[in-house]
Amino acid sequence: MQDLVLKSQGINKSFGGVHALTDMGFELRSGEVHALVGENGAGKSTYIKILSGVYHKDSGSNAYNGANVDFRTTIEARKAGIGMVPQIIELAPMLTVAENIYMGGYPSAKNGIVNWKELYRKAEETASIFGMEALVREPVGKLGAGYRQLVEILKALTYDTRIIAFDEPTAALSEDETRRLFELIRKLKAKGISIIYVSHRLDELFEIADRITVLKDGRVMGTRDIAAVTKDDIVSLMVGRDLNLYGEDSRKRGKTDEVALEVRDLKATGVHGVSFSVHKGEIVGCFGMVGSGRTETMMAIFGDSPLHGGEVLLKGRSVKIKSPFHAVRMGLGLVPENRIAQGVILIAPVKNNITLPFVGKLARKRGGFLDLRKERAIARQYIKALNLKTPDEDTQVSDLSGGNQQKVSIAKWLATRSDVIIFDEPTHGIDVGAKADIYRLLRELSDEGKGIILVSSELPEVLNVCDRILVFRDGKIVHEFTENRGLNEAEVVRFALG
Amino acid sequence: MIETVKDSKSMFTKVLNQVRMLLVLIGLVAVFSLLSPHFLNAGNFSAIGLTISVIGIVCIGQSLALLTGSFDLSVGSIAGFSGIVVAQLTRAYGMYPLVLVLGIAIGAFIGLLNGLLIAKAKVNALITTLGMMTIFEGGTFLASRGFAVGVNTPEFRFLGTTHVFGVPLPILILVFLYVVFYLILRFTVFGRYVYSIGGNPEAARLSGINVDRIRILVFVIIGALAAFGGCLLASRLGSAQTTAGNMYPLNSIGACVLGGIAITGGVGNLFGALIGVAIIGVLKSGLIMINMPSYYQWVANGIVLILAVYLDTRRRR
Ligand SMILES: Nc1ncnc2c1ncn2[C@@H]1O[C@H](COP(=O)(O)OP(=O)(O)OP(=O)(O)O)[C@@H](O)[C@H]1O
Ligand SMILES: [Mg+2]
Repeated sequence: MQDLVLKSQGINKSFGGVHALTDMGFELRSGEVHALVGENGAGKSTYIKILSGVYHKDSGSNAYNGANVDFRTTIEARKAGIGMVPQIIELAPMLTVAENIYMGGYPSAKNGIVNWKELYRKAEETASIFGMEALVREPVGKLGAGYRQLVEILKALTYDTRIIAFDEPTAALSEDETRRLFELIRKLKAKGISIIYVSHRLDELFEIADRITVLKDGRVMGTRDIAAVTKDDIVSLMVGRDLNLYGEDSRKRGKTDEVALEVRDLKATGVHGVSFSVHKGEIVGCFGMVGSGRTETMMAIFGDSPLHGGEVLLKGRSVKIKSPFHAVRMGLGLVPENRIAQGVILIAPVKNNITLPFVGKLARKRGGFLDLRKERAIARQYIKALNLKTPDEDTQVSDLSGGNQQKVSIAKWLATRSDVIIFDEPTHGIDVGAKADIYRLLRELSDEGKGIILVSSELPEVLNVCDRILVFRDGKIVHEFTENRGLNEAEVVRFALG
Repeated sequence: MIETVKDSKSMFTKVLNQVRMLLVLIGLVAVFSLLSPHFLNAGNFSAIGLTISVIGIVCIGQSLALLTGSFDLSVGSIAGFSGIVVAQLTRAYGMYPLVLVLGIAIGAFIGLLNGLLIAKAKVNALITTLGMMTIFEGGTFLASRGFAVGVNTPEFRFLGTTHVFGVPLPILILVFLYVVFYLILRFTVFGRYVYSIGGNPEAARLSGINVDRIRILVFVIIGALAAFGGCLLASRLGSAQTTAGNMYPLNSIGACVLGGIAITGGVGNLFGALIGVAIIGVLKSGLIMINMPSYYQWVANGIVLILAVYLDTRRRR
């Protein structure tokens, strides 16, 4: 048997009445990549946060190199050799990449004076892992989501690290960046560093993981060698039943002849002449690489960025959408790409978030006073429909797990009952069971005659759920697949890469 | 695992957070009652109520600003300027109630300028309201040539000096406004928008809320309330003072934060703000009663402000 770096036993942790972890056990060998998977709210992030000093366990023990540890801060954990790359990026946007990497302990500080030259030299050295040397002097706020994620990873590497825990590192990364991350992980492994790897992308586990532990409702369902399991095995351990991810397309109506939304020669920042239409009852997929202009196109339609040209038509009528305020009133909805910054109000209760876009309607003919009972009923209805894990509708969104926060961001547009709903990467950070729920919901919405746009970088999802696929590249639509049946992945990717 | 029954411990801490400042208030009253024999009586409480009635009204506005994630430093100048203008006009033309409405409108207009600059021109709130504060400090001196403006007509003094069943009218107005705005914030669409914008302006905007419009409206309300406060003070004193509102900006922010309204926006309620104001009032009166020189009140105010922010930060950890 290989030597153990870490052995956790009987870990319990609850938040108020929520048992996030119950009697959790976990072992990590040196130089191993141990994947931790489970549904949203299963307790994965909680476990990692306990290890790295963010949360404190209620009971149980963590033996690290044979000695019991209980870190009080992340810095303490980092100094002891346990690094974490959190699920939610926590960087200082105004500071440079180098400053962020060394936050909490500049390596070259003497008597409180920082040796900047030395700091930047070291940072360049570290950043070269991802070919980011040139960026170390850039403020983090100017970088895209992918780079920010990479900075978080570099941050975890600065001390003499023995264990690194990655919490959904690839959710915001492009394929290319993911490949580099895997290279890095293999290098770390070769050096004997152990890795805890949390992800909802089960396919990538077969590429990178040695063993896998499945959590469900805060309990360990089992630990297996990755070579000994199939994806279906993992899913059924996670969900507790067999799951047909993409489900059956049992829509009765589906696509109609009526056009819900049409866009003609749309031009905006990063968008260079995009034309397409969405019929009522149709699910249109927008595929492309990160930076291909999909999000920019959607934000322009939604009135978030000014149009430089072209027009938008709703139900055949040309409309001017000057702001999201207009867009929502004209029957558009948009689930934004970044749920924390744009999708939800973390400090507000779940119910307030769900009713936000139409809260004015809850006060109609009541002199501005809200019908709170109706609000509660609506919130409960969508909590149930989306299988949203929350103690109740009054819980603050910040207390939910990452995936359940995403569900709140989706629920509010379902509840608004917009005519056309744009989903920008709706399944990022969402577990397989919830994904299946969302695909089912998309079909239900389409059956109700809504026009649906699904922006996604996950090809299998686009191929299995959409009626029609638009491929974006460099701010344009480079190809349209009008029928998705029988398409193979390589064909679509070829257009996306050009 | 999700349990349907709410954890009694977490409910308890929630309630405790709500009433903690109330306990502080009661504690202060108890301490001063022990230190001074004159503190604990109806007359003194009525006096305290009168002194906090104006700053209390200003605090309603400040709460709205803080809840939307902003703040307003010009409340004092607006109160001072409106008070002077209304007093001058009353002295020249009489027509008191009409002039009062005009005074409130002036405050609302200044608030509108604040709102437009902040929401539309995107000048930051610190600079905008600081600038407006200075402008109308100047305006106050220009309108008064630096002297207090005394008015002694019964109409002018009605609001500030009337008693209803022995209770001074300003206190009743204060309580009335708190109840109204508490209900508005808690139960109306406008209130929900205010909290949402303070919680995450970007998410609110992308949910189709006209964030700019609400922000502007909030500053208009702040201006109107501050102006009304200024007129009420002039009515109570029988003269409009040029320096009437000098301490309002800091004191109002301090009181609100002390009462649990987060400086980062989106959290807190008016009940808390009222307790915050009351604490400041009791502190002031108590220090006078135990014969502390008035400079110590400044020191106390500063300490209270810092303490309030410290508690706010602790609460959020
Ligand atoms: N700070 C907190 N306060 C209250 N409850 C919390 C807190 N953090 C997590 N929880 C609850 O603990 C449970 C486990 O959450 P955790 O974030 O560990 O899930 P997860 O497995 O990482 O899920 P996801 O895949 O969605 O990120 C959830 O039910 C969540 O609501
Ligand atoms: Mg998580």
